[in-house]
Amino acid sequence: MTTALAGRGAYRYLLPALLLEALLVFVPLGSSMYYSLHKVRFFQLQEFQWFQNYLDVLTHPVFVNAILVTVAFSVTALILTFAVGFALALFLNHDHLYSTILRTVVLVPYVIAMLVGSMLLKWIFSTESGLATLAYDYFGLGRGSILADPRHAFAALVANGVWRDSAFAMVLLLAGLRSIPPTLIAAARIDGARPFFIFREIVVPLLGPIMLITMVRLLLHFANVLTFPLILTGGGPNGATETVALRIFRVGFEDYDLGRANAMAVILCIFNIAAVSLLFGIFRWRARRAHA
Amino acid sequence: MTTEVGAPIEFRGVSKHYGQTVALASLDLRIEAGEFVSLLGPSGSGKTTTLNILAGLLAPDAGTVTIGDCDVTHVGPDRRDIAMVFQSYALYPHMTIAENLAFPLRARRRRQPADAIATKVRAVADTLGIGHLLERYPREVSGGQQQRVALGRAMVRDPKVFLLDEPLSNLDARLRLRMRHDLKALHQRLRSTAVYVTHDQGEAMSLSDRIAIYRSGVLQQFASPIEIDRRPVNSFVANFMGEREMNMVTGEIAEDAGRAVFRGGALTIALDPAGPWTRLLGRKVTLGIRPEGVRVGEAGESATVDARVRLIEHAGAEQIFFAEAGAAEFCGRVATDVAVRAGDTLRLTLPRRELYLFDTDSGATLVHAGEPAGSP
Ligand SMILES: Nc1ncnc2c1ncn2[C@@H]1O[C@H](COP(=O)(O)OP(=O)(O)OP(=O)(O)O)[C@@H](O)[C@H]1O
Ligand SMILES: [Mg+2]
Repeated sequence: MTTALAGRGAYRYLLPALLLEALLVFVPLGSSMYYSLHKVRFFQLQEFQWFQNYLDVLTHPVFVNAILVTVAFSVTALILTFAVGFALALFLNHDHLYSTILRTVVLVPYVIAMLVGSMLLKWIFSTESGLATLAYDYFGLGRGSILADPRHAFAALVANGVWRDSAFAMVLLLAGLRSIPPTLIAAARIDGARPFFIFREIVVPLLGPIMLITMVRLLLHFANVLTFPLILTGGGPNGATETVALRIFRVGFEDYDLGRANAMAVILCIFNIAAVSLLFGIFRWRARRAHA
Repeated sequence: MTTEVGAPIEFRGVSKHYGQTVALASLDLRIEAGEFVSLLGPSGSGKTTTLNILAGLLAPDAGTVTIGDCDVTHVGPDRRDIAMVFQSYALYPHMTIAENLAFPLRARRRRQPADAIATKVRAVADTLGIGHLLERYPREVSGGQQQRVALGRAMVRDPKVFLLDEPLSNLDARLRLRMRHDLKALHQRLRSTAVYVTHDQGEAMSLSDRIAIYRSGVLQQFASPIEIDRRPVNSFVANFMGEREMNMVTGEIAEDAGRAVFRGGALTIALDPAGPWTRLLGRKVTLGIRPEGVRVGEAGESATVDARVRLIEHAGAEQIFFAEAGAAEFCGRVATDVAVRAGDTLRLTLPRRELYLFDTDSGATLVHAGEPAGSP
């Protein structure tokens, strides 16, 4: 697309936005990089040591584990949350009274504070007071503690994400569904298309950009979220749910090693960029294939 | 395309309500195979509702819909073998023109091979003169071309029934006339049953075999254009048809020297002695005459009235005048070479065969085109 402003003149109009962006994004990012190249002890900047911090964290098995946990958690939570959110959006895309009420109900986990939500889930999953344990008992599944078992704890962490953020995905996707003209769907039905064909040929292609935005937002959220692992599982048992964000928090604010914490933050940032680029790439490839 | 004729359509007692609003009140309508029928009526009178029920997009509250020999009341739109052109065209924006045209063929349960679809799409596109646009997207072609694509998408399946919801309303006047002509030619070639919704009575008159006139969800009359024009069943239909509103004078049926007459305003008009007037003496009635029926200064045994010209409008080859005679106002037409000015008094002639008489309360027609209607 070409516009009348496509020239150097356009940058004048972008300047305020760029300045704000610089202040809020590039300055913190820059200082984070700066710190990551130094030895830092209890907030005291000490000697410059090139990439020593990076080397230290990347060769540390705990950090490697945290990366694996983060990737596993982000991908699982993204897929499940997106699927549940999309299903809810399709299901609640009517104007009946019940769907209006349900839409509000579904939003509850999203509007209560993350911290409170995760604490609630912690109570539900805990052995002493937990509702989940009651259910386990009822179905005769034994008395195993959910948060004490590595795989169950990981599942609980994913459940926390899906439970809270499906509503977010639903809201975005519902807005997208609403923007598809109803006559388009009517035309497709008259043209002889069955529901699944309409979904595949009309709804998904027209929803493409919204789906991409939803996925990017979810992915960035899951890859960087601290509250879920910090509150729900504390990263345990035995690091099974310790994500990079939690690791950064611990190294930075419990061990006060800001040099290494910032090195990890920069690595996480690079991962974020790579993941988002990957998503964009997939969508662009899909769009091109659809028109081949 | 096929030479096979379309399917007949029948509505029996079909109604639809939205809360207190009656969108459609017990519609009975039978459309013959291959017929071109227009649904005409003011905004909100139930035309789109009728079409949507026929398409299966809307479920009626009561009644049955039949297409061909099948009761389709509870059949989904994808199984009715109909095609529809929407007012907004409803082209799929993410597909090229070719993909749009191919969609109904690809959506089918038993899909044809890709090259058969391509051949079909090509043929339809060439028929409609959009063959050179196949690789473009809908937003990259003009309104008239989009409209042809919408038509093409409807044609590509050889449907038995064509539904068109104001397909020409987004076009400019010239293009409308040309597309109207093309539509007619197309229908003559395809011979499918066509149901056409429009606001434009000129369109309805020139295209249709029969016209259905709606008012507030109630079908008023379903007849040929000439019949509707000459023998409207009530004052609503009479007034709705025609380029301009009918001239109306309220009055009553009275007796004058042993003959039944209409008396109202400054007018006294003798009625056809053959009419059943004795029963209607004293009844409140409305006299109607179309502007085209009003003559200026023509003598004869017709009724005349002197009227003062209030306003002149110039409309191409003629002038439209509005003239007052007592409480009544008459609108009529004279050629441009006749000198009339506001303030002049004209002697208007109201030929008997142009006169209509309606029951003021019920609106039912008592006399159309000078002849008494069947028992009112
Ligand atoms: N979804 C709806 N909810 C409530 N009322 C509706 C709905 N759809 C139509 N109506 C009402 O039903 C009546 C008939 O509507 P319809 O769309 O059939 O009119 P129409 O003859 O097509 O009018 P137009 O010429 O303006 O398109 C109108 O009074 C309209 O307000
Ligand atoms: Mg309508």
